[in-house]
Amino acid sequence: MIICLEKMNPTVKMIMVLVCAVILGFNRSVAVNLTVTGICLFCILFLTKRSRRNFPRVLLPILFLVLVMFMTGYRNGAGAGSDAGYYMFTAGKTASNNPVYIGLKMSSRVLAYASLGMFFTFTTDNLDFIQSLMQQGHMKPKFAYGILAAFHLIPQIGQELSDARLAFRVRGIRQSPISLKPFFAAMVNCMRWSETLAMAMESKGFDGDGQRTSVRIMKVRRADVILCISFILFVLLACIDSHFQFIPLL
Amino acid sequence: MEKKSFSWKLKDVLLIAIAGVLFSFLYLGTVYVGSAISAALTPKGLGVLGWEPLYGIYFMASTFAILIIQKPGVGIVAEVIASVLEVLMGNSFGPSVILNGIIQGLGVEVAFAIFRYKRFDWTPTIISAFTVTAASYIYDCIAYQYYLNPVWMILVQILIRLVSAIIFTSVITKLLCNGLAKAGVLNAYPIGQQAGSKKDYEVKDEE
Repeated sequence: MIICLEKMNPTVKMIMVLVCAVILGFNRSVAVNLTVTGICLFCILFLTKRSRRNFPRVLLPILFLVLVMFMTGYRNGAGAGSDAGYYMFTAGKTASNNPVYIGLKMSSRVLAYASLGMFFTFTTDNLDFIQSLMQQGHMKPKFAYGILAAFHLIPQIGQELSDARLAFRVRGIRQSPISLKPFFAAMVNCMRWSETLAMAMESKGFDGDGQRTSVRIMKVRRADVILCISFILFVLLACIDSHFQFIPLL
Repeated sequence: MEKKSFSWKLKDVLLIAIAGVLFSFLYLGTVYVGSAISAALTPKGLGVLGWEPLYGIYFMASTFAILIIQKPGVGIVAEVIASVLEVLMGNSFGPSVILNGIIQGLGVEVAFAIFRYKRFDWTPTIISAFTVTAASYIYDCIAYQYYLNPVWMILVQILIRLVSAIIFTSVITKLLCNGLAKAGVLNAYPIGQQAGSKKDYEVKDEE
């Protein structure tokens, strides 16, 4: 039976990813980072039916970041062994002063974080995520639908900004891509939108605080909780084992 | 009286969320420059410095919300709203950005909490650049193991991030909020009412 991770409750999945990210923040093992990366990539590639068309486009900047972090550790990490900060945070356990090892340590951490993030992004539907935050995370509807409204306005906001830039160009005023004048003009209009949009939603009967019924009923299944706890425990035990080397695996 | 907890209305959420989207466009306009600098510096092992000048833009949503709404806690909520939007937009780091947002929001809040949320002028706004830089760097230092780098590099990173935060998070955001208040689009908020009341005084003076 193929496990479909997109069916996992998004709030439970978010908690799983967040707790694992916090645990990994205290991990020093390259092997643990790479194991988490491997599991997440396997899940993205084989355990979801959602589209992975964007996967290479998302992966490319991550690989660039990984390279940047590797070079940072490789070029600077070798000298860091003499730094007080290095000894303080590694409790004197300088496993290796090898620059390649330090580069791997820094880059594999970023890779593990990004893999956890991509695992969430590629196995979760946006609408399910917001519905779950409302139903399980007790987020008020005004926040949930406010965020969704802004999310769906993104193309119009982008159009507004390019219109403002065009208006400046028409008047012969040259603007750089980060110039603040068209940005300000777009912002004035967007602020007005926020008020009219809120009025429109409320005039249609939207109640930002009340209990709502929902077409999409998000449930927390027993399998979700088991998967969440098992993965957190796995990452935690792997980190502990890599530190104390009870079983010299990682 | 002023310390009453703020109750968010739908239009407040929309205001902050839409502003968050606009800030992300500003970020997108600069990220290519940051990546190019980063790529140029990578062979020397200084690639991480390339994105540091953009950090101030990350923190803008929080300062923007506090300066407009002027109530405790709005900075953190604004950052959470902005980071949930980032997750929806498909940020590669997924829900971890929410954790990041909470810490950045907390960093900005501290500066205004020092003045017990009674001052929203330049002083707390500039201090917020220092506090948010400290909070975000401590988080990044643990998360991305920047402590493995030499001390000089850590100091350079903090300095660039601080300058970026002063420029974007403090100066530009404050000027933006003042400009929006003068334009009259924030009349429903404390900052807009203050701008309006100044005009009344001016009228009285003229009389």
